[in-house]
Amino acid sequence: MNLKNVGIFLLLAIILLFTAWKNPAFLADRNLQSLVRWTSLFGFCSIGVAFVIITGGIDLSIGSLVGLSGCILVLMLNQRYVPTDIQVDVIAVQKSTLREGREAVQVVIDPGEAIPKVDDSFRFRDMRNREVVGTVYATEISNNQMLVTFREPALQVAPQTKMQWSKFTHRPLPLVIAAVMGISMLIGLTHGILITKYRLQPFVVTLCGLLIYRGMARVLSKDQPLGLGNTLDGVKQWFRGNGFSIPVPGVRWISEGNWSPYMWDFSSKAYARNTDGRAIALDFWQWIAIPIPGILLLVLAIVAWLLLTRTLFGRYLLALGNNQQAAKFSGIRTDRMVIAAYVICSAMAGLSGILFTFDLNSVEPSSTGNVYELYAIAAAVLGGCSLRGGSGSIVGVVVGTAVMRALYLSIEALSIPKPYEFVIIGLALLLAVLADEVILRIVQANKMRVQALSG
Amino acid sequence: MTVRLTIHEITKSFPGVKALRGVSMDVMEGEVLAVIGENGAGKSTLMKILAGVQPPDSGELRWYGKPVSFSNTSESQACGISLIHQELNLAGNLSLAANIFLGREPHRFGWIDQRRIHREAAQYLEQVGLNISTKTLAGELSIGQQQQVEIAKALSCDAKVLIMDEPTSSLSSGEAEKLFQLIEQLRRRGVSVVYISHRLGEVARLADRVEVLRDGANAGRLKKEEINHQAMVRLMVGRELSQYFPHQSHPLHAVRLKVENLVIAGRSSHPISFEVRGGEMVGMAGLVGAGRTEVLETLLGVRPALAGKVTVDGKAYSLGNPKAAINAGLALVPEDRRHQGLMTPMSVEENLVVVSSDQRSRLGWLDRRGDRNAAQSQVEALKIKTPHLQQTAAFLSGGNQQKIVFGKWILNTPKVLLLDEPTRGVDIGAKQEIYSLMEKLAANGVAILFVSSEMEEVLGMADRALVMHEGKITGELTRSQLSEEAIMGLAVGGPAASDKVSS
Repeated sequence: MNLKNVGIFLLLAIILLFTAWKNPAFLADRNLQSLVRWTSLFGFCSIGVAFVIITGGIDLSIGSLVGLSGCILVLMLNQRYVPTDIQVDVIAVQKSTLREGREAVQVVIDPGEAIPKVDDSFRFRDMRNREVVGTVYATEISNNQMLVTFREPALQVAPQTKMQWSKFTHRPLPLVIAAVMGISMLIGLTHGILITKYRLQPFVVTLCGLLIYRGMARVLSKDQPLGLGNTLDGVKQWFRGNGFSIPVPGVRWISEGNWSPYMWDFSSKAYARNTDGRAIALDFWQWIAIPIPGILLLVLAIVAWLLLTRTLFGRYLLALGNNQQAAKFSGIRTDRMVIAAYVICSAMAGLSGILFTFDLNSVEPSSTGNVYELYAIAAAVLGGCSLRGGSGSIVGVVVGTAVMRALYLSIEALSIPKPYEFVIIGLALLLAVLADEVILRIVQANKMRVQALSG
Repeated sequence: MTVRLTIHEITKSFPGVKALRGVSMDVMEGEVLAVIGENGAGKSTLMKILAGVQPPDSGELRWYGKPVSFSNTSESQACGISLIHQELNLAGNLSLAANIFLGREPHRFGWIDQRRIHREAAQYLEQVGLNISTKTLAGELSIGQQQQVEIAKALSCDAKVLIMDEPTSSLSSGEAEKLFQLIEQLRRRGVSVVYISHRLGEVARLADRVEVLRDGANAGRLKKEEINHQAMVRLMVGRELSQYFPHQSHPLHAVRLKVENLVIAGRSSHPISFEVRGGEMVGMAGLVGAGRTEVLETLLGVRPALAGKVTVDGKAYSLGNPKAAINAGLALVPEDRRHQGLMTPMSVEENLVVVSSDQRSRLGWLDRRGDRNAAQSQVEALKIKTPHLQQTAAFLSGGNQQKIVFGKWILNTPKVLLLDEPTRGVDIGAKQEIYSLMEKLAANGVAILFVSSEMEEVLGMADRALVMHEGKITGELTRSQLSEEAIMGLAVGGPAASDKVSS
């Protein structure tokens, strides 16, 4: 690990500790978990853009592509109800056994030929003779009868009603994800070809992309928000869940002990005591569950790191970023490498769009992903990528993303008014980059002095 | 003669090196003072201090006996010292007049006095013998003409001391001749010219006095009558160079490189044909701009070919594709080391293995130990002076950088080695090592084609010479026919000249 990476880790530690000094609860496990979660969701874009920045290029279209790929994901899923002509009889209506809540309705039906599943719907006339649609929350079978719990509360179903069964369906998720990724990579390929074969400037090409993809998202979605509703609940649940846990030292002493090893009662501003009057000791280690996106990012970061440091591709990418002409003279197919970098970047943006959609459950065509490219570029620069190309480290980029997210969360934790958000983040970035430059100069000057003395 | 500028006990340190350890010398009015020394001897540092680019750590500059110090180049210019860099610093998209007055434009109410700068620029251009419109863009000029503009610029600052760092390194012999005449004129007008060069022939011809630097200290000075090749080399290297060119003829093998009717993009469309045999060293001579670099670049595929066929050991490879050329066994040590040869911000190791690591890699994965061993082997074999393999290439001297470029190709076991000005900007010690290396490769059966603008180098190293003029090969000289006159005759393009040679 080089000096720059140590610096960015220090910066992250400083932000976390400073905020915890003002508000110890900042380091509570929930908060740390959400830091990991947001870092992960934004980290994909940062890693992607790092590849492009290493070639000496830039990608401004990332945010728009996040929005576009989210829209395409939802549209391609094509969630819809297919009405059948099968009718079922309602035998009885009762309080649900499967769902909490006073008004949860469960009907007992004779399924006949129908095999209703979760998310399917039934159309029927309610007690006031209105036409109503109920969607299936859960089903259960007992004694050749089927118990169907509805998602909608307080449905007024009359016994002996006939209900028409509609099947809920969408395109298979793996297919849709493959298509979205394919489209994203095609977009990256186009960027790469325009930049290498037609010699257009990356800034210009991707600036046009920024406008075009945002516009396309709005056109395709007819400028309406697109939601997933209850579709893919299983996947979303898994995605919002946690993987393994890791022990983090000391944070509990800060968040629960108010910087002491004993539990602190923040309301009475005193140590919490046992019944026998002794202070309650806190564990040094806090187990923090890593959310699934964090695990995905970890896997991808390792792959990216290997790609950059252990493969010919990475070596060539760094070489051409440093000196494209010399790379060409050494027989490196520079155009292909650059195109590959843009494909990787757009693929990461596309993936990010899919994951954000799972996380937020909806896409806002005109705003989802706005300025994410700038977050990604800022994180990459913080992480040690030079915009001149030729240098960059994946570890740095991931921690750089964490710094950006930590700033956001700490602004919230310190109850700083929203309007100050961008001002603070901008200033913090500027200071970080400035400090980096100043420290580098001091180190160099010191080296020079030491060598002058010894020489 | 009066002493104009005194350099007294100047020292300067950089990280890792003591560049100057108490250097002293005088610059007289109206003389040409040559400052010579191997690369890393401290010449460039001394000149940068004179020009105010860097401050000295200790020591003193005196202007007619009065101590002066400069904190930037405009202060030294105001005093009367102008530095003309080895790499010319003109803004290519500005006019000559704008370049000459850059930063010092005469103006009225913030408006540049265009008429005046063009009028005055024209005068200065005339003084340096350049008769072209002041409205021409600097980028459209040849290197030699650009240099003349730099000198005109210095004159416009009323320079009394003109420092020229390797001024002929990118000039053709004709252009260099013009420059020498100009220097002569300047001297007669009382300007002091401090002339830095590796080309001892030029120094012997031009200099009134020679100051020799070695390892950042004065190694000796020579008066006009003492100046000769031997004496200069002895002072520079600190030892006698028994044999400057280690050339031996090797047994020639079959034809390795065969070029048939090659037409090069962007040049006049003369098809070019020639052959180089295994173990043979063919020199390519000619004036700068004759198209020699373009031939080499086309052979490697970094420049497209319009027509023609090139074979290595009888097998043709597709032109315009560097990878194909390299796979066929070609290697090119380019002229512009820093832009085409090296990734200077990267490590010695990464630079050494960049061409060959794909041979060692498996399924795209780097063989890191193999790469390290390969790099280490070349560092040892070529005696590359570097503290460790991870050292940034930019921090090495020109000679060691050039060895890295050689090393990266040797690791790829080339069949045909193309060299473009292989010893440019390389000091005498490293030059000799490079010559021995060329010998060794030829002895191993490699076909070597080298472009050189140094006549001595072609005469000293080539088994055979091809001479180019305006994109055409105007003649071919065997070793026994090689002479300065014969090469020059062909280089200026006269068919009569080649007749003279054969007679």
